Amino acid sequence: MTKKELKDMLMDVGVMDFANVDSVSEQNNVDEQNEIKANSTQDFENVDDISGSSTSEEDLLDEESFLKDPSTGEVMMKLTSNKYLPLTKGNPGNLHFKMGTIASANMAFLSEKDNTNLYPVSLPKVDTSNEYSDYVKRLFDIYSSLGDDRVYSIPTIGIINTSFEKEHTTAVNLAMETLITELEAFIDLIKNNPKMTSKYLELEDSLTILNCLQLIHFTLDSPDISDLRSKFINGLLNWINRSDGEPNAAYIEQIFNMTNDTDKNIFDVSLFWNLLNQLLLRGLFEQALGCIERSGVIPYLENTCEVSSNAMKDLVQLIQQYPMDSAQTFREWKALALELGQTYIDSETNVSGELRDSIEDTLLLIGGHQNKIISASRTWYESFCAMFLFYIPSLELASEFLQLSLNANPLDITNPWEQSCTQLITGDIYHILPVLESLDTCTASFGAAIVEAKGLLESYYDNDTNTPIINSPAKEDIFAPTNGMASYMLMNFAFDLCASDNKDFWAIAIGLISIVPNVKSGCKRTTISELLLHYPFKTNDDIEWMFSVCAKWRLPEVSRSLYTMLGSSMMNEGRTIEAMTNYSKAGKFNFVKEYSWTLFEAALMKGEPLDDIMLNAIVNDGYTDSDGLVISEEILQNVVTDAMRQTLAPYAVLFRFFQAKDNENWAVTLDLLMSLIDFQYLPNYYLVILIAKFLYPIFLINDSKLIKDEYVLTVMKQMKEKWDSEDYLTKSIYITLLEESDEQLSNLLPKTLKDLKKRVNKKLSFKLCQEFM
Amino acid sequence: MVSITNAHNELIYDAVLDYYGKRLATCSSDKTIKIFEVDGESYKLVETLEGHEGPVWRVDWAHPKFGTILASCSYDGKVIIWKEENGRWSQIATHAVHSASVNSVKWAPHEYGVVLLCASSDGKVSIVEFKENGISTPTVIDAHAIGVNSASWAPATIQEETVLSTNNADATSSTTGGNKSVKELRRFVTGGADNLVKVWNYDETAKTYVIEATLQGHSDWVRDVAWSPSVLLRSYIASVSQDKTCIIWTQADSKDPWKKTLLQEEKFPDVLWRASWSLSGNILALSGGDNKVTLWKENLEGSWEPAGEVEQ
Repeated sequence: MTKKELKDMLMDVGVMDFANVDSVSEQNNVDEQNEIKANSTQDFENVDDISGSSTSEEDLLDEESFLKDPSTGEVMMKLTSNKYLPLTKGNPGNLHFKMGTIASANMAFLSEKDNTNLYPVSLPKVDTSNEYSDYVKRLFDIYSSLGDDRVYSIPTIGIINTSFEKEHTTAVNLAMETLITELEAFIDLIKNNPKMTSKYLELEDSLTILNCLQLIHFTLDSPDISDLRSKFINGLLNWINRSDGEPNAAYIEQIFNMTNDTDKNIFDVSLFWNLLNQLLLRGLFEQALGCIERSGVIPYLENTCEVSSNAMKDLVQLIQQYPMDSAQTFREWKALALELGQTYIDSETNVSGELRDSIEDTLLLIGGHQNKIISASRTWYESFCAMFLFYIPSLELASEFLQLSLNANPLDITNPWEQSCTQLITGDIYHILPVLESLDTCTASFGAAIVEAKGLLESYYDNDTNTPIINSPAKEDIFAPTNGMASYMLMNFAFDLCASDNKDFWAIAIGLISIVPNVKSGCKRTTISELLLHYPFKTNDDIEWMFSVCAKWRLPEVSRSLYTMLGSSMMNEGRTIEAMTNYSKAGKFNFVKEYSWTLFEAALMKGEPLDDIMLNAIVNDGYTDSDGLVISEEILQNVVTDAMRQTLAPYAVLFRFFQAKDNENWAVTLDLLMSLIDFQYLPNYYLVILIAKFLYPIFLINDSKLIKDEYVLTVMKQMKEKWDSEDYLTKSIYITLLEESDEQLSNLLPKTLKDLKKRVNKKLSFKLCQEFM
Repeated sequence: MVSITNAHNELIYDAVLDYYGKRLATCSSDKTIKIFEVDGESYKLVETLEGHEGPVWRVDWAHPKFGTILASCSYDGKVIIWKEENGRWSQIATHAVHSASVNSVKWAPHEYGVVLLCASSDGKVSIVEFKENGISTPTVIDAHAIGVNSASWAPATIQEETVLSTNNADATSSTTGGNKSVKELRRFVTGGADNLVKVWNYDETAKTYVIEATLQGHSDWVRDVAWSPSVLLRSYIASVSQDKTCIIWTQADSKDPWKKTLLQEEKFPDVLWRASWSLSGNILALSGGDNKVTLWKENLEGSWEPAGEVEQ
């Protein structure tokens, strides 16, 4: 099946699908409403995976998420499976659509009473397949490996620069060739995937345009002169014949079957000669020879007309010997072809006028007769190709050949590639870029970049000096027109890649922004710093990658933001210590302090160390369990920052206090408690808890426990400065203490802070007296 | 594709994915907000937030560096700030300075801190900053007399200014003797029931937001305004209206006048309800009463062309 047939068929299917969607959707809307009514009490955690319950008809309709509007050709995406279509065509409604930060995550919903469904939708033309991902990577590698050759610099006179120019031309021509090879390989991968038919056709059109681009602008200036003609002719035939795949096998078969039920020979039918000529015009020489043989025209002529028979035999020989590689041999070949044609015209023959005319036309065609070539061609590109094959193979005449061809066969504007190819032939490269972009952004962007590297896109001129400014110093604005169209397209493509949540694409996008020419480094830094915060990190490797980009581009502000985001994310997961580590690295010391006190408070209220291995390892210089060392000093070094060492110090003292208390080492317990009470940065409300929960019940109530007078005086001093019985926070935390304490402590403590203060003061006075006595 | 059925009991007014597309917040006239966790194509309801006394119009996620914070606004005239910590959601603040329905809430670019922009039917917009020790005094400004339907922050940008030194103060025609200073340019746009679009910027001297431009172009209510989020492009504002048009307002530099471009010459078939930009600001999505979502992209020649369509 040719590409054209496939396109026509697809369009028919597209129209049919829409018709079906309309009718099916109405029925399904009714079905859906009934179903919703029936399940009105159903928990809406139920998420409908439509694909799982589709019938074969629905599968057909759902085959592609995106369809083309038959009238405008625009890509349309279905909100969801046809089974749950939310919209009724033609009716007004309240559709709301909100774009997300990634292309695959957008939300649509109808603000209508009988529809409370949400419809997650992906953007059209966003390919996240592995095949596409690999393709993008390969094209990036091709462009990246161009190195300095990514920039075209106007050569100056001199031997060294001439050789530099040659090397540059070789490099960019090779890059274009490799890009085309990769595109062909990608097309091969997807061509049998029914869901990718539309993409396949778009890529084929891109390939046709690139084949033409390579032929006209990336072939004949290659420094390896030896096989230039061969390269050019093969490129020409590849471009023409891949573009539409004509004539197709079914058509050839149809021609040969025309005379099956008649007495006529196939070579008596003009369509046979038209087919033969078409094959010759397109340089399909093997197929042309096959047709001649299959027609049996030579055996027939051997018995009827020796002159014609010899002419046909000579024609076969000439076709077999068509010189693909040597310009010199071509001139000799062409002289023979002209001679053969002329000899036949001048000879008497014994065949019918019609057959003689057909043979004569074919001989003149291969002799390069312009009129014969043009009249035998069905399309402008067939005659254009034949002019190079049989008339004069010179690019200098390309515009003339094109004009002659177009006069006879105008271009088909419904084929995206035809106009672009004619523009390429006349040297207008700019206008093909939007077309390429509409077909495939990736191919277009890298293609444009290589074209720019070749120096074919210099059209921005300085008004004063009338010189191209593409090579002038880079500009501030990444989308400035003076940066060049290729840079603009590459940047846009990088942005598109960042809109996906595919991490491979992110690395390519950042890489692209880094190497895109004509954009100032500062501007690239701004771009990367804005994009990087949106990177969908999940693993430690992702995080490392982000920070490596920050380091490479010296983005300390972005690093700080990233550390803050990591800190918040870990805090939400309950990984307090790791969160604090990140907050420290972000310079958010207030957060580190705040969370350190939160940990302190939790342990204080609990009356024992927190059940956090990492935290306790930090304050205990490593953690050892029954099997040995679990958290080494080295790991702790990485986790604990200087800020954390400082802010966690009160918790560390509290931890040791609990240990001493458990060991009933009362002297040490008291020393540690006093160091906390005397800590100048201790929030006021914690002083109350330290006294109420530990000092009062352990050391003050018990008259047998002596307390040094300096300790008593310290407590009195701190109470005088910090104890505020009316403070809201202090009251709240004291009430919580009373509620959460065991019976013994809650019986011991009075209901109000005022009473507690009185009791503590009384006991402190007693202890002071006790000490003096 | 997977749809989420019966997400609310009544009309849905907003559905917003968070920064990473991992959580979805929705709100409805059933006065609730629902939080869904997103994992690939699956959406799991994890919380229903109740607190408003009227239909909830809009929700917006704060930047993740501030934690998991959500703002919601309602017909009850209140804005509620919700926070999730260790899997538990709670109200951390209520902002109630408006005397009528609050129609829109938008968090400022993270560079400004935890700052919220609210637009109300009382004709005012309020800007409120949430600090660790509570809410700062909100700034309230009269924006559109009949009511403000939508508001949207500009991305955080800086502006270079030439400051003349004192010994060169009289050299008014020359700026070569001046020093370049860089200042933050805080701006937002509002759309109102007076058919106008207004651009506001922060005046350091007045300590409030002052009007920078009043943009006329719509002939009916402005339903939504959206400022393109990328600082890398020139400034783009999209405004959509009851008059079935979408206007793209562009400004090359912050001191230049705003240029008006109709997205398409002919009117859309019905009212346009929503406008939103992609992350990189290069794709604009519009949705409206014709039940279609159209995507638009500025082409290489600088005009706007369809980049796709969401339809049945």
